Amino acid sequence: MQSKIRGKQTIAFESPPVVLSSATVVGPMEGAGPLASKFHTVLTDTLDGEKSWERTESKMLKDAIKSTITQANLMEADINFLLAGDLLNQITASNYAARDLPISFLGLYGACSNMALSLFLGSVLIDGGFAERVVAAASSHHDTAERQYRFPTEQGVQRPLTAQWTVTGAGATLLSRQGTGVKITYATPGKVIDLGVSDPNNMGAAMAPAVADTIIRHFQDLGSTPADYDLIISGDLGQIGLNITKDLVSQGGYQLNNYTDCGILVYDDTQDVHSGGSGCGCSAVVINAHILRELQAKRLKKVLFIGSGALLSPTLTQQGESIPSIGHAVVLEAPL
Amino acid sequence: MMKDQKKQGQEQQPEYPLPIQGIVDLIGPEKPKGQKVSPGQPKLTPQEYKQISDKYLTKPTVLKNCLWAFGVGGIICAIGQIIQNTLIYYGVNAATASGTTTIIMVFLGAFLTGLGIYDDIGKRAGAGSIVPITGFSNSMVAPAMEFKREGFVFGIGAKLFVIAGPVLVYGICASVLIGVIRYFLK
Repeated sequence: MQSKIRGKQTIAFESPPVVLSSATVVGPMEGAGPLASKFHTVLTDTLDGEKSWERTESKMLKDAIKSTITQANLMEADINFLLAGDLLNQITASNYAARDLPISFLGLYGACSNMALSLFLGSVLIDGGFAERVVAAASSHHDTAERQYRFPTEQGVQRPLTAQWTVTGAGATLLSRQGTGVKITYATPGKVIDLGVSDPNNMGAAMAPAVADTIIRHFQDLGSTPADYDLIISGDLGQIGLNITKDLVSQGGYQLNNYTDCGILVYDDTQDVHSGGSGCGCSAVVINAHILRELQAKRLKKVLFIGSGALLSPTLTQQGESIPSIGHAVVLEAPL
Repeated sequence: MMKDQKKQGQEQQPEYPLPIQGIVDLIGPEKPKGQKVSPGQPKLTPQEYKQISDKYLTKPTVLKNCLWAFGVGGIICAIGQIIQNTLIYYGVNAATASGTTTIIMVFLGAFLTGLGIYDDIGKRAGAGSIVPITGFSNSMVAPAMEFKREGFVFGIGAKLFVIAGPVLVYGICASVLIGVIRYFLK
């Protein structure tokens, strides 16, 4: 059998998995943003009738997963594996969502890179012949993240301008070995890189080197250039992280002129989020609601999506540790 | 050969050819000993990276923040003063009026926190709404609201002082210290 590895760390899928359907559930603030019309479900409040935000996040994730399955006219029994992750301690949003689903479950943690990570691993399972259909999903909730990582939500604190706003959103993608639709053709899982940024209010700067490294490595492994892609999009670097990544990648010899970030697309300037959106849900909802549709409609042909994750915890941050980060890339291609 | 180079602590070439001599390729040989860099991240030191990333930082709006803090902090204090003067006007003695004003201000801070307004004020005012006693009230009520879902013991009970605790600890310590100094200076 021919090896599927290209260069150092890029995988070329021999029979690229196909995206059969995708679904998103977002909170009211995301529903008031520039992508409002693209989301599948918009909640009217952040609790949505549940008694805690943690339960709401789980429910959002579960609803997104169920919705992808229904959209593809399939049953839960048709899905071999569910791969999901979130930001909460012990990835409880995913665990509790999976509790109510009769699907073999693989819980993932790659911080905010979970959507790219689950797409990548799901594709590996399918291309490797280990699964027929998998659902890849990720979620985050602004209020669950705030209370875990920062302050109580009603605390009157001033956020620095480098800070980002955790997206309330869940996204799920149904990948299949057979069918027609957007294909996942390559993946470049990244390395953990830490260049000493220890400010949890500046995660864009913490994650930028990891994303830049994965982007450059992807180009080097495949001998491709930014011009080979219609769009290069990172997960949740925000405006600051995006600018740094552009700089680093250009110092690596590649000019990124067709590059943007999910954290920039998900909110507009009037929403006062400072550097942009963040969280697993950020890339999960932008990719599933927007980018996959653009690919399906063939307005975009080939997209390089790099999920970015800051692998920090409040404990380690308080102990003065810097923030290790990671970037996982997958290539999404429009159907022929 | 690689090992020798490492020992000498000289500039090293990665094991595979780099198409571009950029700084970004963070993968490669380890740093020479003595430099404080995590393994596997050689070409760009944290110091060098900081220089790059600092270029793109959004500058904090210090003047605007100060004006907001000054304005809002001033308004909160003025409200307190109005309450106190009103109480004295209606014949409450000065000591009681001072205590009553504090109670009313704490109530106002808690009330606005409960209505979800105080965090919106704090977002703009910063220290202007944290330093007055309404801010202290906010820092107690916000965790109480937040953690009531974890129950009365391990939720509210344990988390009530999560923000205010340090203020109390160091505030009380400082006041004891100053009291002792004052005693000896007298």
